[in-house]
Amino acid sequence: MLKKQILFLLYMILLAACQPVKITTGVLDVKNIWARPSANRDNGAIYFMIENGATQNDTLLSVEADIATAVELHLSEMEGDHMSMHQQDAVSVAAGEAVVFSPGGLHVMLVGLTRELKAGDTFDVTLQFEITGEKTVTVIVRDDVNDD
Amino acid sequence: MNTKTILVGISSFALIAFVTLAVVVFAKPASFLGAAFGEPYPPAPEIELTRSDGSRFKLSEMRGNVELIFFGYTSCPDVCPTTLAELKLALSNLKEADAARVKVLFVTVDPKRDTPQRVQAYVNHFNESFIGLSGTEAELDKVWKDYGVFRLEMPGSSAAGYTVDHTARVTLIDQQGNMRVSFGFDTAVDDMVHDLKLILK
Repeated sequence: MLKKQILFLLYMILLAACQPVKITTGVLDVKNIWARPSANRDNGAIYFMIENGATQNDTLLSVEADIATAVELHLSEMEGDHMSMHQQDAVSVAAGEAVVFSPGGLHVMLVGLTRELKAGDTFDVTLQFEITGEKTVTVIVRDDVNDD
Repeated sequence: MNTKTILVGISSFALIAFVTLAVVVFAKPASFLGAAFGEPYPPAPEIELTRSDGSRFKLSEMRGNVELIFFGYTSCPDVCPTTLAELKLALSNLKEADAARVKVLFVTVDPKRDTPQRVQAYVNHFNESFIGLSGTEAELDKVWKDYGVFRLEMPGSSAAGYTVDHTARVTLIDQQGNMRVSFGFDTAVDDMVHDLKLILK
Protein backbone atom coordinates (compact mmCIF):
# COMPACT_ATOMS: atom_id res chain seq x y z
CA MET A 1 0.00 0.00 0.00
CA LEU A 2 2.77 2.40 1.02
CA LYS A 3 4.69 1.40 -2.12
CA LYS A 4 1.74 2.51 -4.26
CA GLN A 5 1.59 5.85 -2.49
CA ILE A 6 5.30 6.46 -3.02
CA LEU A 7 4.98 5.58 -6.72
CA PHE A 8 2.05 7.97 -7.03
CA LEU A 9 4.05 10.70 -5.32
CA LEU A 10 7.02 10.11 -7.65
CA TYR A 11 4.65 10.23 -10.62
CA MET A 12 3.25 13.58 -9.44
CA ILE A 13 6.76 15.01 -8.95
CA LEU A 14 7.73 13.89 -12.44
CA LEU A 15 4.56 15.43 -13.85
CA ALA A 16 5.25 18.71 -12.06
CA ALA A 17 8.82 18.73 -13.33
CA CYS A 18 7.61 18.44 -16.91
CA GLN A 19 5.25 21.41 -16.69
CA PRO A 20 6.60 24.70 -18.00
CA VAL A 21 7.30 26.79 -14.94
CA LYS A 22 5.27 29.96 -14.78
CA ILE A 23 7.15 32.92 -13.35
CA THR A 24 5.05 34.51 -10.63
CA THR A 25 7.39 37.06 -9.07
CA GLY A 26 4.91 39.86 -9.76
CA VAL A 27 7.52 41.93 -11.63
CA LEU A 28 9.32 42.03 -14.94
CA ASP A 29 13.02 41.41 -14.47
CA VAL A 30 16.06 41.51 -16.77
CA LYS A 31 18.83 39.11 -15.76
CA ASN A 32 22.28 37.82 -16.80
CA ILE A 33 23.09 40.89 -18.86
CA TRP A 34 26.36 40.74 -20.80
CA ALA A 35 28.08 41.88 -23.96
CA ARG A 36 31.00 40.52 -25.89
CA PRO A 37 34.22 42.56 -26.10
CA SER A 38 34.29 44.62 -29.31
CA ALA A 39 36.55 47.20 -30.88
CA ASN A 40 35.66 50.87 -31.11
CA ARG A 41 33.56 51.60 -34.26
CA ASP A 42 32.70 47.90 -34.66
CA ASN A 43 29.26 46.51 -33.97
CA GLY A 44 28.52 44.74 -30.71
CA ALA A 45 25.79 42.64 -29.16
CA ILE A 46 24.07 42.50 -25.77
CA TYR A 47 22.48 39.37 -24.36
CA PHE A 48 20.16 38.83 -21.38
CA MET A 49 17.03 37.10 -20.15
CA ILE A 50 13.73 38.89 -19.64
CA GLU A 51 11.53 37.26 -17.02
CA ASN A 52 7.99 38.55 -17.04
CA GLY A 53 6.64 37.62 -13.61
CA ALA A 54 3.87 40.20 -13.93
CA THR A 55 0.29 39.30 -14.76
CA GLN A 56 0.22 41.26 -18.03
CA ASN A 57 1.91 40.46 -21.32
CA ASP A 58 4.62 43.00 -22.12
CA THR A 59 6.68 44.01 -25.12
CA LEU A 60 10.27 45.22 -25.43
CA LEU A 61 9.97 48.17 -27.80
CA SER A 62 13.51 49.51 -27.95
CA VAL A 63 16.85 49.79 -26.18
CA GLU A 64 18.86 52.97 -25.70
CA ALA A 65 22.60 53.16 -25.08
CA ASP A 66 24.97 56.09 -25.34
CA ILE A 67 27.92 53.95 -26.39
CA ALA A 68 26.63 53.22 -29.91
CA THR A 69 25.33 55.32 -32.78
CA ALA A 70 22.25 53.11 -33.04
CA VAL A 71 20.75 50.25 -31.02
CA GLU A 72 18.55 47.67 -32.71
CA LEU A 73 16.76 44.42 -31.92
CA HIS A 74 17.82 41.53 -34.15
CA LEU A 75 17.24 37.81 -34.48
CA SER A 76 19.88 35.51 -35.95
CA GLU A 77 18.28 32.50 -37.52
CA MET A 78 19.73 29.41 -39.10
CA GLU A 79 18.24 28.86 -42.56
CA GLY A 80 19.59 25.50 -43.64
CA ASP A 81 23.34 25.88 -43.17
CA HIS A 82 23.53 29.64 -43.36
CA MET A 83 22.88 32.32 -40.81
CA SER A 84 20.48 35.13 -41.47
CA MET A 85 19.87 38.25 -39.37
CA HIS A 86 16.43 39.79 -39.12
CA GLN A 87 15.74 43.13 -37.51
CA GLN A 88 12.82 43.00 -35.06
CA ASP A 89 10.38 45.89 -34.50
CA ALA A 90 9.68 44.64 -30.96
CA VAL A 91 9.91 41.48 -28.86
CA SER A 92 6.91 40.33 -26.83
CA VAL A 93 7.24 38.63 -23.46
CA ALA A 94 4.09 36.84 -22.32
CA ALA A 95 3.03 37.04 -18.67
CA GLY A 96 4.70 34.31 -16.60
CA GLU A 97 7.25 33.56 -19.29
CA ALA A 98 10.89 34.29 -20.07
CA VAL A 99 12.55 35.31 -23.33
CA VAL A 100 16.24 34.65 -23.73
CA PHE A 101 18.55 36.82 -25.83
CA SER A 102 21.57 34.64 -26.58
CA PRO A 103 24.32 34.13 -29.21
CA GLY A 104 22.88 32.83 -32.47
CA GLY A 105 19.40 34.03 -31.52
CA LEU A 106 17.81 37.23 -30.30
CA HIS A 107 20.29 39.99 -29.52
CA VAL A 108 20.49 43.72 -29.02
CA MET A 109 22.77 45.02 -31.76
CA LEU A 110 25.03 47.95 -30.93
CA VAL A 111 25.67 49.61 -34.26
CA GLY A 112 28.88 51.64 -34.49
CA LEU A 113 30.33 51.53 -30.98
CA THR A 114 31.69 54.87 -29.83
CA ARG A 115 34.24 53.19 -27.59
CA GLU A 116 36.00 49.88 -27.15
CA LEU A 117 34.30 47.28 -24.96
CA LYS A 118 36.90 45.43 -22.89
CA ALA A 119 36.25 42.41 -20.69
CA GLY A 120 35.29 43.63 -17.22
CA ASP A 121 33.88 46.98 -18.45
CA THR A 122 30.34 47.91 -17.52
CA PHE A 123 27.88 50.31 -19.12
CA ASP A 124 24.20 51.15 -18.70
CA VAL A 125 21.41 50.66 -21.21
CA THR A 126 17.73 51.55 -20.94
CA LEU A 127 15.11 49.08 -22.09
CA GLN A 128 11.74 50.52 -23.10
CA PHE A 129 8.80 48.21 -22.37
CA GLU A 130 5.21 48.83 -23.43
CA ILE A 131 3.73 48.15 -19.96
CA THR A 132 6.65 48.24 -17.52
CA GLY A 133 8.05 51.41 -19.06
CA GLU A 134 11.73 52.28 -18.83
CA LYS A 135 14.15 49.91 -17.18
CA THR A 136 17.83 50.86 -16.88
CA VAL A 137 20.22 47.96 -16.39
CA THR A 138 23.99 47.50 -16.22
CA VAL A 139 25.74 45.42 -18.87
CA ILE A 140 28.97 43.58 -18.04
CA VAL A 141 31.46 42.94 -20.86
CA ARG A 142 32.52 39.31 -20.65
CA ASP A 143 34.86 37.11 -22.68
CA ASP A 144 34.31 33.99 -20.56
CA VAL A 145 30.78 32.99 -21.50
CA ASN A 146 30.47 29.50 -22.95
CA ASP A 147 26.82 29.14 -23.83
CA ASP A 148 26.93 25.53 -25.00
CA MET B 1 21.71 -21.75 -2.95
CA ASN B 2 20.94 -24.52 -5.43
CA THR B 3 22.90 -25.63 -8.48
CA LYS B 4 20.54 -23.81 -10.84
CA THR B 5 21.18 -20.44 -9.20
CA ILE B 6 24.91 -21.02 -9.34
CA LEU B 7 24.74 -21.99 -13.01
CA VAL B 8 22.69 -18.92 -13.88
CA GLY B 9 25.22 -16.81 -11.98
CA ILE B 10 28.21 -18.27 -13.77
CA SER B 11 26.65 -17.99 -17.21
CA SER B 12 25.58 -14.35 -16.63
CA PHE B 13 29.10 -13.53 -15.54
CA ALA B 14 30.54 -15.26 -18.61
CA LEU B 15 28.16 -13.35 -20.89
CA ILE B 16 29.10 -9.99 -19.36
CA ALA B 17 32.79 -10.83 -19.62
CA PHE B 18 32.41 -11.87 -23.26
CA VAL B 19 30.49 -8.71 -24.23
CA THR B 20 33.04 -6.49 -22.48
CA LEU B 21 35.89 -8.24 -24.27
CA ALA B 22 34.09 -7.95 -27.61
CA VAL B 23 33.54 -4.20 -27.11
CA VAL B 24 37.20 -3.67 -26.26
CA VAL B 25 38.54 -5.79 -29.13
CA PHE B 26 36.16 -4.76 -31.90
CA ALA B 27 35.57 -1.14 -30.94
CA LYS B 28 36.03 1.27 -33.84
CA PRO B 29 38.80 3.80 -33.53
CA ALA B 30 37.57 7.01 -31.90
CA SER B 31 35.61 9.07 -34.39
CA PHE B 32 34.86 12.76 -34.91
CA LEU B 33 31.98 14.46 -33.15
CA GLY B 34 31.65 17.07 -35.92
CA ALA B 35 30.47 16.23 -39.45
CA ALA B 36 33.29 14.04 -40.79
CA PHE B 37 34.37 13.87 -44.44
CA GLY B 38 34.56 10.29 -45.76
CA GLU B 39 37.60 8.63 -47.28
CA PRO B 40 39.24 9.43 -49.59
CA TYR B 41 39.40 12.81 -47.85
CA PRO B 42 38.75 15.70 -50.23
CA PRO B 43 41.84 17.89 -50.67
CA ALA B 44 41.17 21.44 -49.46
CA PRO B 45 40.96 23.77 -52.46
CA GLU B 46 43.76 26.34 -52.68
CA ILE B 47 43.08 29.71 -51.09
CA GLU B 48 45.01 32.72 -52.38
CA LEU B 49 44.15 35.97 -50.65
CA THR B 50 45.73 39.05 -49.10
CA ARG B 51 46.87 39.49 -45.50
CA SER B 52 46.80 42.76 -43.58
CA ASP B 53 50.50 43.49 -44.27
CA GLY B 54 49.83 43.25 -48.00
CA SER B 55 51.54 39.87 -48.37
CA ARG B 56 49.89 37.05 -50.27
CA PHE B 57 48.46 34.14 -48.33
CA LYS B 58 48.50 30.63 -49.83
CA LEU B 59 46.76 27.81 -48.01
CA SER B 60 49.16 25.27 -49.53
CA GLU B 61 52.03 26.99 -47.69
CA MET B 62 50.37 26.12 -44.37
CA ARG B 63 50.93 22.32 -44.75
CA GLY B 64 51.96 20.66 -41.53
CA ASN B 65 49.52 22.78 -39.54
CA VAL B 66 45.86 22.19 -38.89
CA GLU B 67 43.59 24.95 -40.20
CA LEU B 68 40.16 25.96 -39.00
CA ILE B 69 38.44 28.05 -41.68
CA PHE B 70 35.45 30.27 -41.00
CA PHE B 71 33.72 32.65 -43.39
CA GLY B 72 32.22 35.80 -41.90
CA TYR B 73 32.35 39.59 -41.92
CA THR B 74 33.45 42.25 -39.51
CA SER B 75 30.13 44.12 -39.25
CA CYS B 76 28.58 40.89 -37.97
CA PRO B 77 27.74 41.42 -34.28
CA ASP B 78 26.48 38.01 -33.19
CA VAL B 79 27.35 34.85 -35.07
CA CYS B 80 30.93 35.73 -36.14
CA PRO B 81 32.10 36.98 -32.72
CA THR B 82 30.45 33.95 -31.11
CA THR B 83 32.28 31.57 -33.44
CA LEU B 84 35.64 33.34 -32.98
CA ALA B 85 35.19 33.35 -29.19
CA GLU B 86 34.43 29.62 -29.32
CA LEU B 87 37.49 28.90 -31.45
CA LYS B 88 39.62 30.89 -29.01
CA LEU B 89 38.16 28.88 -26.14
CA ALA B 90 38.75 25.60 -28.00
CA LEU B 91 42.43 26.46 -28.57
CA SER B 92 42.87 27.40 -24.92
CA ASN B 93 41.82 23.84 -24.06
CA LEU B 94 44.74 22.37 -26.01
CA LYS B 95 48.34 22.03 -24.88
CA GLU B 96 50.24 25.17 -25.86
CA ALA B 97 52.41 23.31 -28.38
CA ASP B 98 49.31 21.76 -29.98
CA ALA B 99 47.43 25.06 -30.10
CA ALA B 100 50.41 26.60 -31.90
CA ARG B 101 49.91 24.06 -34.70
CA VAL B 102 46.28 25.16 -35.25
CA LYS B 103 45.77 28.17 -37.51
CA VAL B 104 42.40 29.91 -37.47
CA LEU B 105 41.56 31.55 -40.81
CA PHE B 106 38.75 34.11 -40.98
CA VAL B 107 37.81 34.77 -44.62
CA THR B 108 35.48 37.68 -45.31
CA VAL B 109 32.16 37.38 -47.13
CA ASP B 110 31.96 41.18 -47.37
CA PRO B 111 34.84 42.49 -49.56
CA LYS B 112 33.13 45.87 -50.10
CA ARG B 113 33.64 46.82 -46.47
CA ASP B 114 36.30 44.38 -45.25
CA THR B 115 39.84 45.27 -46.23
CA PRO B 116 42.54 42.79 -45.13
CA GLN B 117 43.53 45.33 -42.42
CA ARG B 118 39.97 45.56 -41.14
CA VAL B 119 39.56 41.78 -41.00
CA GLN B 120 42.86 41.37 -39.16
CA ALA B 121 42.00 44.09 -36.63
CA TYR B 122 38.71 42.30 -36.03
CA VAL B 123 40.21 38.86 -35.40
CA ASN B 124 43.02 40.37 -33.30
CA HIS B 125 40.32 41.27 -30.84
CA PHE B 126 39.91 37.57 -30.15
CA ASN B 127 43.39 36.17 -30.69
CA GLU B 128 46.35 37.77 -32.41
CA SER B 129 47.37 34.42 -33.88
CA PHE B 130 44.14 34.28 -35.93
CA ILE B 131 44.62 35.16 -39.60
CA GLY B 132 42.17 37.58 -41.24
CA LEU B 133 41.91 37.37 -45.03
CA SER B 134 40.33 39.44 -47.76
CA GLY B 135 40.89 40.04 -51.46
CA THR B 136 39.22 41.18 -54.60
CA GLU B 137 35.64 40.13 -55.20
CA ALA B 138 36.82 37.80 -57.98
CA GLU B 139 39.42 36.13 -55.75
CA LEU B 140 36.94 35.70 -52.94
CA ASP B 141 34.20 34.50 -55.25
CA LYS B 142 36.43 31.59 -56.24
CA VAL B 143 37.13 30.70 -52.59
CA TRP B 144 33.45 30.91 -51.63
CA LYS B 145 32.50 28.64 -54.55
CA ASP B 146 35.30 26.15 -53.86
CA TYR B 147 34.23 25.86 -50.21
CA GLY B 148 30.49 25.80 -50.91
CA VAL B 149 29.94 29.04 -49.03
CA PHE B 150 26.62 30.77 -49.46
CA ARG B 151 26.72 34.55 -48.99
CA LEU B 152 24.14 37.12 -49.88
CA GLU B 153 23.99 40.82 -49.09
CA MET B 154 20.66 41.61 -47.47
CA PRO B 155 19.52 45.21 -47.70
CA GLY B 156 17.47 46.25 -44.69
CA SER B 157 16.56 49.13 -42.46
CA SER B 158 19.46 48.52 -40.06
CA ALA B 159 21.74 51.47 -39.33
CA ALA B 160 24.57 49.01 -39.98
CA GLY B 161 23.69 49.16 -43.68
CA TYR B 162 23.26 45.80 -45.37
CA THR B 163 23.84 42.58 -43.47
CA VAL B 164 25.29 39.47 -45.10
CA ASP B 165 23.59 36.10 -44.81
CA HIS B 166 26.35 33.51 -44.83
CA THR B 167 27.26 29.91 -44.19
CA ALA B 168 28.20 29.55 -40.52
CA ARG B 169 30.36 26.45 -40.57
CA VAL B 170 33.95 25.89 -39.47
CA THR B 171 35.94 23.51 -41.68
CA LEU B 172 38.96 21.65 -40.32
CA ILE B 173 41.86 20.93 -42.67
CA ASP B 174 44.49 18.42 -41.57
CA GLN B 175 48.29 18.54 -41.72
CA GLN B 176 48.24 16.97 -45.20
CA GLY B 177 45.84 19.60 -46.57
CA ASN B 178 42.72 17.43 -46.58
CA MET B 179 39.26 18.43 -45.38
CA ARG B 180 38.44 16.16 -42.45
CA VAL B 181 35.56 17.49 -40.40
CA SER B 182 33.28 20.51 -40.18
CA PHE B 183 31.41 22.09 -37.30
CA GLY B 184 27.97 23.69 -37.56
CA PHE B 185 27.18 26.80 -35.55
CA ASP B 186 25.63 24.81 -32.70
CA THR B 187 28.67 22.56 -32.16
CA ALA B 188 29.79 22.51 -28.53
CA VAL B 189 33.32 23.77 -27.83
CA ASP B 190 34.10 20.47 -26.09
CA ASP B 191 33.24 18.59 -29.28
CA MET B 192 35.64 20.78 -31.29
CA VAL B 193 38.36 20.20 -28.69
CA HIS B 194 37.74 16.45 -28.92
CA ASP B 195 38.11 16.46 -32.72
CA LEU B 196 41.16 18.75 -32.62
CA LYS B 197 42.88 16.41 -30.17
CA LEU B 198 42.14 13.44 -32.44
CA ILE B 199 43.63 15.15 -35.47
CA LEU B 200 46.69 16.43 -33.55
CA LYS B 201 47.56 12.97 -32.17
